[in-house]
Amino acid sequence: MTKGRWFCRGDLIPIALCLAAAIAVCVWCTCRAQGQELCVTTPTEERVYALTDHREETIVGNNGLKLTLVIEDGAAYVHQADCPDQVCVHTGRLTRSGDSAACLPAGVVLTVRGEKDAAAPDAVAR
Amino acid sequence: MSTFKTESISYKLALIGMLAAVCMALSALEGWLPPLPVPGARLGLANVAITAAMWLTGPVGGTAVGLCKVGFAFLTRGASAALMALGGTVLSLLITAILLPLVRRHRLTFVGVSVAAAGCHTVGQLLTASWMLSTAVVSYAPVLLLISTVSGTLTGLVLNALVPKLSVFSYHP
Repeated sequence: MTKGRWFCRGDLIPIALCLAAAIAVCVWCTCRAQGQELCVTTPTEERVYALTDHREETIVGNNGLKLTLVIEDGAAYVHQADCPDQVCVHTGRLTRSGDSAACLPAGVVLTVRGEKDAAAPDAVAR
Repeated sequence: MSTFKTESISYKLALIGMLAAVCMALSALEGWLPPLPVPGARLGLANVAITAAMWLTGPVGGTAVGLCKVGFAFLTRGASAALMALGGTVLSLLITAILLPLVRRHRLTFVGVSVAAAGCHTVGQLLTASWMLSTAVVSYAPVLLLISTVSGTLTGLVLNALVPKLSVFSYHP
């Protein structure tokens, strides 16, 4: 039995692995390139904003659902949304290339792209 | 000792049911505590009951209690919370089942098991969340893993204190 034993050396292995994983993800996240532009896809159109902008936009999606998009300090986030689940609001700030948020009821997808990503399709030659 | 030497199915079943009830009560209790500042972070008290169930009744009992917790999350917090709980619970049940034999061989205590389970729960939850929402949730991973290390240590200490007392349940005259 483990009676009287509160801790042993073996316990350090899972703890160290957990902390190492935290650090690894942290490093990986900061190594990803800072995004350059935000691509907003709605059911009717696609718009691109520079992440360096400071602006507030209202996007109207399916069923007349409105999203308030804020771009500031190199980050974009959905400040307010009409939909009940608020998933896109809770996704938080999008800053790095590849970050994305989606509001499925409104059919709106926000994706951050780096300059390289945007240029990539042009570079494909067959 | 710590496991059943008896084949009494009904005794085992009653114990699993009791631990499932404890697990759900702890889940509910956790819901009433003030939320941690990070979305999705929880103390993981219910894991105490799941690990105890796995220790006392084996992997099948532990899995049953874990799935009860997922069902409870579905009833109280909705389908998306239940899916995320399922992703986390499956992984943490798996690692708990793998590591518990090491506790019996005195290589680990419940602190190690709980930290591993909490870490795996976080990973499973984040994998489910990134599939459901977006990969942006990965940015929460470092702080969630840190919190699960701390909360896993705490629940592990609770288990270290509790399990020797609980072994009275495995005594069968």
